Amino acid sequence: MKKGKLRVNERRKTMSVYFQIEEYHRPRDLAQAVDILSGFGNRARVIAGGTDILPRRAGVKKIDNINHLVDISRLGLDYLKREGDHIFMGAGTTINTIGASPLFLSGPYGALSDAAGAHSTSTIRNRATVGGNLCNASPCADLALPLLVLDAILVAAGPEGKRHIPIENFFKGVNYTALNNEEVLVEIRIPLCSEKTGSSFLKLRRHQTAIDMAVVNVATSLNCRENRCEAAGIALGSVAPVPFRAKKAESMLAGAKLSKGIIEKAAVAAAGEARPIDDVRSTSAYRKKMIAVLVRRSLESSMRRCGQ
Amino acid sequence: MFESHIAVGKSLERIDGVEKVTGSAKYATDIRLENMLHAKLIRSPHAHAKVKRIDTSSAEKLPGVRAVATILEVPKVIEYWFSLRTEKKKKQMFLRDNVVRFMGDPVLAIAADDQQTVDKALSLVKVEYEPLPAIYDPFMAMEETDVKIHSRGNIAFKVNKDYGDIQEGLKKADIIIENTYRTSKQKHAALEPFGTCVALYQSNGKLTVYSSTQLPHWSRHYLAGALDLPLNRVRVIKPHTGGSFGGRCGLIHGLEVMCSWLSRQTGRPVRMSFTREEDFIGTETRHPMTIRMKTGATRDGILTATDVDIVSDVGGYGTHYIGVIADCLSTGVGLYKTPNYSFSARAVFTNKSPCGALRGYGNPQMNFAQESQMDIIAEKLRMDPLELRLKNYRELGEIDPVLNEKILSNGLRECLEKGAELSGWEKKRHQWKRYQRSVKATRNRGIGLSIMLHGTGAGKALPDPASATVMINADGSVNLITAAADEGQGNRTVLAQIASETLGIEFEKISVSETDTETTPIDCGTHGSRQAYSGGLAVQAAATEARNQIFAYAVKELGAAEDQLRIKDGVIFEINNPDNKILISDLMRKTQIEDMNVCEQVIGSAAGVAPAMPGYYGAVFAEVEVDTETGEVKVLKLTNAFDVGRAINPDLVKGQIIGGGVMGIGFALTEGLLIEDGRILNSNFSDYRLLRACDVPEIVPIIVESDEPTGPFGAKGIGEGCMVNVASAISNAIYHATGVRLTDLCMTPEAILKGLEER
Amino acid sequence: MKKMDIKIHVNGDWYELAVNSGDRLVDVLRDQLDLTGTKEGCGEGECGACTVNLDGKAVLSCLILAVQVDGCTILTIEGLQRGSELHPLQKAFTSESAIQCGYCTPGMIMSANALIYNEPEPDEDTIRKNLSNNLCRCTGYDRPVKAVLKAAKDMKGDTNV
Repeated sequence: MKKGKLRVNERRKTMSVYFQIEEYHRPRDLAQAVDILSGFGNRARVIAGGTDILPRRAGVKKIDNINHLVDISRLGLDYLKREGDHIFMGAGTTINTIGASPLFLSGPYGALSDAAGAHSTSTIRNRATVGGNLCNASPCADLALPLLVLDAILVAAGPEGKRHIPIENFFKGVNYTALNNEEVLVEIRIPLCSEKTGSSFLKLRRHQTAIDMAVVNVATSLNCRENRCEAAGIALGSVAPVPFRAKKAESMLAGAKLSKGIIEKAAVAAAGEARPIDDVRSTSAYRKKMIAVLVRRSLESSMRRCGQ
Repeated sequence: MFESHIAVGKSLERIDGVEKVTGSAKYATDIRLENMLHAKLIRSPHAHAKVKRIDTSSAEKLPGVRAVATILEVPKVIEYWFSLRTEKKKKQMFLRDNVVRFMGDPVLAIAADDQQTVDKALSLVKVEYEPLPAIYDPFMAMEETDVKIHSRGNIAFKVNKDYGDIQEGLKKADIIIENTYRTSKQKHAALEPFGTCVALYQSNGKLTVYSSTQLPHWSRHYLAGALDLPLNRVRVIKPHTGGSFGGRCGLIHGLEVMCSWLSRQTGRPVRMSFTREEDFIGTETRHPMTIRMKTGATRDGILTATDVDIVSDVGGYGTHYIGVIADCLSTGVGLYKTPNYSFSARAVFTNKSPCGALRGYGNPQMNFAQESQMDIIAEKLRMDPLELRLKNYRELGEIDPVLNEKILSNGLRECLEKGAELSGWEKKRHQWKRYQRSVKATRNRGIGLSIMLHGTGAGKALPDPASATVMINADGSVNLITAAADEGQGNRTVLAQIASETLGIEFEKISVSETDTETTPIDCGTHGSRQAYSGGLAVQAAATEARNQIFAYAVKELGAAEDQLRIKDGVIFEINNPDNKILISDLMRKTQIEDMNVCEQVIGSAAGVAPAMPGYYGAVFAEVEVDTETGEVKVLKLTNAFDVGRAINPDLVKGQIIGGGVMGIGFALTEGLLIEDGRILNSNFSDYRLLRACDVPEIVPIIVESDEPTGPFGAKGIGEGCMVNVASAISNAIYHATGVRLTDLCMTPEAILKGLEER
Repeated sequence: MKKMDIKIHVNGDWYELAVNSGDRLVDVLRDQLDLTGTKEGCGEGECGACTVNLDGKAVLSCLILAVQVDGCTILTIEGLQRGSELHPLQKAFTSESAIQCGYCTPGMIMSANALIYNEPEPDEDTIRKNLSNNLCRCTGYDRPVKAVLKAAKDMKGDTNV
């Protein structure tokens, strides 16, 4: 709670200044992108859709030392395909492409299509990419939550080649990820789920308006066989420095016979795992209450989607 | 009622539509002059401080830096045009000192060849402050004697007004309801940010300022006063404006005067343009108010007494603070025939961003309190809230005690009846209530209503001049010269319609002048829902005079008596002998050019003040659905009926009702600046949330026409009133849905949930 | 700030421009090409006043660097008109009283233009969702939604972007 308050104050001590872009680089391939990033160290930053980097938003602090942008938007990173036992998603895939993809309309991946639709306005979604949403590492990143419950694997390219990072290990803090300065997130891999899986995403907006940042956002997934839960995923956003899985709540569901009662209990347990803060958007107390409501509603929805 | 012939009562297309859809309409932000300098402000990081020292020496050494102006020499404009009435008061309008009174208060501006140089120069300026204790709470500010925000103290204005005998009234009451209401610091959030201006001071001693002001002529006075120039050396041009809603009701704090000052130093045009953040932190807002209200009524639902005490938070500087309180008084006392009304109010300075006019003035705050009280009384008396209103509202023919004017038109009953019918009030009121009792639902529906009265114009309270000139050209076309500032509502179109109807000349032949003080006679500006009424009366009078001159020529030409002549579609004819006719264009060519003994143009002019300040009325029926687990409110539908006297252009009136309705929902549910230790936390559109298309419910606009006898073709106002009672209706609907009474705006899900838990 | 040369196709013409690396598309359109019909309302991608069409999609010109659109096709409000005749969207916005202050109008029209290009027969709900790209403080959105509905019918899929 304290931490959040401090952050808000600090952010707004001065009028906003936005970081000065000295030079823009458009590498011809991934290797060159990694080279440029390695050359400039922490003075360079990757840009794709630009919707997190370019807003001149009040309260966004100047990042003094970053003044080189490396544009990865023309490196062929926008693809979406199902092959073998994975769905492969290029990091440069726009949120609108994900929202419109028939791949995610069915029960197991419904949460992804929900989250893409809830992300922002469609003009933003035309530019914003899934990679950007993850790398910006906002506590309320919408796309992070479905990818967390779907156990996505993130592929990063760096000077040493590619490495795989399970999404659970990716978020390290507010605007801070497991990537090194010279690395580029290139792909997201989603393991195929059993048909008996259903997932959903819900977001409570601050102002009861349809397009807004989340006060609380959640994604859940349930794998059920005849009303018995074989595996459950619950991911929470906006209630801790990073989006995360509510493991205790998940374990209450795994193996259990699904009922109103157990879902309610798991939802309350999920709320217990959150560490929300007070900020300009909401209070910690309200957020905590809302997690229980949203998790319950999302689990109910995921249950309905099982076997769809 | 007047029968329309050609223009009045018709939804004609607005005159500036094509410019606006093609992108060719120029707004202040689009104006670039040759050789133009760019300027920017340094704003105070302290909420209250003395500026001890300003060191601009390094900045001034930077190549391309042309001028510096600081608050030590450039005056701030405080107060509003009421002060122009006397030389003594006028002097007090201009404050020149070394104190900053809110976080974001301008300290100095630099003008340079380009924006990058300005930014660089500003970073080289050193300002030394002596921080002073800051006060953010108006109640503390009233008690505090050691910290004075202005030299005259922290209480900017204080008033007590009594009508009847409040103690008597309370004695007669069977029930007395007392509550305290608090309203938010709403921002105008016009899509074109407040704060763009280009000023050019030329070597001939003339200052031209492009400013999006609602009050071009008063702004000219303010600039002349601040720069000590004669009025005829100041020219204010108002280009297209991206919305104002009261926030451009004067000059923008730190903008036009600064720019003009910098231009006078350099002889070059100077442009300054605020960012959205500067709009949020540095320009005026609605006055947040704390309203304690005690209302008494008999068992039969007759109001006997209202006792109200208001504390209005003015912020660091005041402009409209007296007018806003006067509006609380006149709308509060005026709406119901409560015989005993005691009104007291204080407007108090705090170290927050300045407050001013915002659509509705003080009425939305007052209405929220008063209409909530009415709903509570109805509940306690088990009376239909609609019936309680009908029993108590001040009717046609009664005297409004504040204005001491007889009510000459009042369509409130029709507003209530039509609104109730179209919203299905009675049925929903009962069905939804039953549903809530019978089911443990998580989504409860409710319907609530509220009414309002708002004055048209400001004629009884402020100098309120209006004038117009109508010139008939040799081809029969017409130039309408007016300073009416169109902020987007379409008043220039409405005035053209009035001119067209009065003259009998087709609407397409009327051209409306640019809004430029150099070429137009004085007009009070666009505020107080006044242009269709006050501006319209001036145009009607000018057009009537022009028409009479046309008739005088026609009498000679057609040999008919003047009272036998009529004009329709550009033809003058004898009523009983329609073949005896002449085209206006033929007659005008003849008198202006052909007949060299005449060579006279028909020019009709009128100037003066409207004879009254007629009230216009409205009823809002709001339907909501409350998620009882999250506290979220979804507004399902609004049915908004407004008595506008006469709709000159029904589509434009509906546009006001729908747009005002949405702004009202914002005031109710999402809007308000959040301030912590003097710092505004939500100074962007991501955190200050306006409704979007998908958030907006169906709004059913209903126009009621009561035919105001003093108005042009019966017209009164609409622009402000249509947002006034939306919040109160929504609050009453939330109560109907949940039994939760909210007294603070905006009504957040969290507050609703808390109410539900405490229920 | 390093200057870069770019070539962009705007409203039917190719332009070769030298721009700063940090210049946003909205800056270049307004300040270099004098296309001031594209407005800036917030600079943070919330209000939609700066919406233009980029290769057939509605995008926010305040959230794109000019250097990023090198080689791309851009349509702004000034390029919508066909000769002297107003575009069906422009006509509908005037005839349906969908304009008040007009500051959001170019952005709204360009947002709707891309919608109709990609989805020639949008229903009211789709239009309402799409116009949620654009903040408007005057109209309450009702009339703009109706105007787009009318224009889509009038256009029958005949679009340009």
